[in-house]
Amino acid sequence: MASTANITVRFFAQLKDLAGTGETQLLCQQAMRVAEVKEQIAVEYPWLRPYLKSVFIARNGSYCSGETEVNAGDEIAFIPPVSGG
Amino acid sequence: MEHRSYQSPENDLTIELTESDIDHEALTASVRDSACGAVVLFLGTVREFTQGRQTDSLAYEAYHEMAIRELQRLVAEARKSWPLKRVGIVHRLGHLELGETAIAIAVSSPHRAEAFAGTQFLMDEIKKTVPIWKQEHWSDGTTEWVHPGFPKQ
Repeated sequence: MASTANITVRFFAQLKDLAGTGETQLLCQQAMRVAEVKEQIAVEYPWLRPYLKSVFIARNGSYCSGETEVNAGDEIAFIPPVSGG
Repeated sequence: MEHRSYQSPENDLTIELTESDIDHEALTASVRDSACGAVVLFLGTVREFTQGRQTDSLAYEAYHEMAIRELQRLVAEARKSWPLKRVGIVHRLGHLELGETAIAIAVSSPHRAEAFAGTQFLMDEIKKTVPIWKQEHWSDGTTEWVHPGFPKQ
């Protein structure tokens, strides 16, 4: 069960395969921004780092920038380049 | 809870993500409207050859909740430029064989130029922003996620 002080990070497609999981939790820090979530993931999963430059981030289902603030309970999705259609 | 479909309260937009065959005839019928002189249907189908490599089958994965929201946003965007009366979009997920329909977009509009342009815009934008991913299952037995711009493995 996810703690409410956590944020949920989701991975998809090749990122999910590389991370070995589709979902992980991070402890939400005060005044945390999306760029810091990305950096924390890069530290925890160093082999993802070369891919993260080409990844877009969505907060609670909408694309956002690195400056976007994250709050406890948020879902931060790492969106690799899309290929639907 | 995953939301796999959306229907607008005005009944002028339906979106569906499905692991079943796409019934494009039903989709086309659903956008017909007596105020419209044009209905455009676009189908994206599974192609056998990509840059000389042979595809055996495909798999699609989506971030469901966001894909539905992003599709809604794109349709709203299209409606700023063209008078699209009714729009229906269905994207297939899971495993697909050669020739099967991966996506169907049906649009009705009073005149054909707007229906064509709106449909093309939607398809082009879907390929850029909607969080859906394709995995090639090549004929040599290897698999590969398609992520344009990612480092090659």
